[in-house]
Amino acid sequence: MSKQVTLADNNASSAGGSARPSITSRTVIESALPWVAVVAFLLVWQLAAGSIANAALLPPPARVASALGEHIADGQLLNNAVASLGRLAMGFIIAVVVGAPLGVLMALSRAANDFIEPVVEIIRPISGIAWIPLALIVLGVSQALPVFIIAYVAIFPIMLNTAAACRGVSQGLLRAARVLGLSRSAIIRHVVLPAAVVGVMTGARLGAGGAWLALVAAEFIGAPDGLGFSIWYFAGIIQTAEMIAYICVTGFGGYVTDRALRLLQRRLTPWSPALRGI
Amino acid sequence: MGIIEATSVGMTFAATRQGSATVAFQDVDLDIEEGEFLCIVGPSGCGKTTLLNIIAGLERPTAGVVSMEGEEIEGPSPERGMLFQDYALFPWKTVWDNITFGLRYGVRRRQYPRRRRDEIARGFVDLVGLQGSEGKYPHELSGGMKQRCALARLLANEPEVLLMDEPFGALDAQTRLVLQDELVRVWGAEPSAPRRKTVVFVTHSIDEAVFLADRIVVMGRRPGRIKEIVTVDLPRPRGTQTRAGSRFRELTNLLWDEMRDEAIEAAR
Repeated sequence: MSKQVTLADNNASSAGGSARPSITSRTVIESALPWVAVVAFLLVWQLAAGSIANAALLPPPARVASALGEHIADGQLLNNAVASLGRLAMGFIIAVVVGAPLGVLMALSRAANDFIEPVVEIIRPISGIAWIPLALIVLGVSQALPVFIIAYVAIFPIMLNTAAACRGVSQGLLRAARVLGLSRSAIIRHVVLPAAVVGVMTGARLGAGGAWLALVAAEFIGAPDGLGFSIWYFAGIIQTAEMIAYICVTGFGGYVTDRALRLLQRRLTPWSPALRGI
Repeated sequence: MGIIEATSVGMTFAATRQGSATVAFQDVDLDIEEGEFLCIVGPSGCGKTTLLNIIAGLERPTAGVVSMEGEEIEGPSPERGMLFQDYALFPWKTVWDNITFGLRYGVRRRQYPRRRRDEIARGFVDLVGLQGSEGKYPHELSGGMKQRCALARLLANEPEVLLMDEPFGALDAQTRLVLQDELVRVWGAEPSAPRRKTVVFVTHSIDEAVFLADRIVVMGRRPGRIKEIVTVDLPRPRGTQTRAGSRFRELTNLLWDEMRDEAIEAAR
């Protein structure tokens, strides 16, 4: 009898009292974990910098933070970030303007597909970075060089995802459009093209990571300003703290770019299956 | 003379790498009367969906002729609207934009000014009970709501003939019954044209066919053909009490007797 009472008591307490706090404390720990990781990383960095004791090789985090603060305060960082983001946007616009129609064409016409696809498959595996030296010879240090590299990197995922999205329009939807009385051109405009937008956005998000990497690399030697240029510049004059500050900013910039594209995707294609569960 | 006439219609699918040519069905003669609710039942593989697609103009038969009002059907037309089992709603369009899709982008888009289009759509939103969901996207709707939306889209386009390809086949049993009741309520209750339109409804379900139809075409398989046409003499309006009646049972038993052997064979 007494055992049963104890059992019942245990049940009652685990259902009501003790279970809840344990769940809450778990979520607190879980939500704290990323910050613990950041603190641990800074700590290791601090210790390493302390033992090296040479700010030119590895400045401590506080030194980098103050460099970051200075560059934010005098507007240099903003100017460079704006320059880089502007090139990214420009490159992306070119990639969409050229890549999306080509993708639609590949999906609509077998001949176009057979013509374009082999070329794409041969060129696509070549890294955007591999083109930088040639671009430097042709374009010189300029706005055009990083824009070209970004457009090159972004165009393939945009093109191929657009084609896949257009081809993925189900027979069912095409039939529905036909029995509703849409002509072939109306079907392309109102059924195939909306599907293409989904592909463009998916491709853009897939291409953004690579484009950001290529942007920094292209700006090292191919641009008169920007985040990549600044990393290279401060490395050259051995201002390591400033250099690391800009490295951190490129990481943050990549993150912001992905967030922005995700937001744009949500706005432009709120029905997209890629957004489900986010 | 019916509104839709099929004369010696046959469909043979050409041989592919996987197998030899298959006869979907042959020698189908069918007169569909204007304003009747015709159900087509039969086991899987009897070609009933193919027959419906031919009436829609989505496929051409390999033998015979199907005509509407005396004219051979050569392609899809907004005269013959269709409801699909998987709803076929445009995922990038809201409920409202799906319902107005045909009116806005179809060949008859200039028939009505915008305000009249909106009135028509509004009428069907109310009729199928989608008030308040106009701004939702299809992926936010339940299966039953999706099919209501597809029904409103179909009716808003003002077709003469409504073709329905197992429209309730993907729904759970309760929702299915509810939508059957809704369909008989909505049929002939359109605000714009209060007269019953011709319906051709393909289904697996004998109960569904008996509940909905004026006539039931029973198809057999291997090769697909019409085995029997059963007239359903249940009074209208029909509702929940219809399913409880003894005549309803008699008719479903009769049809099951007709189909049993082939259904068992098809299930093997």
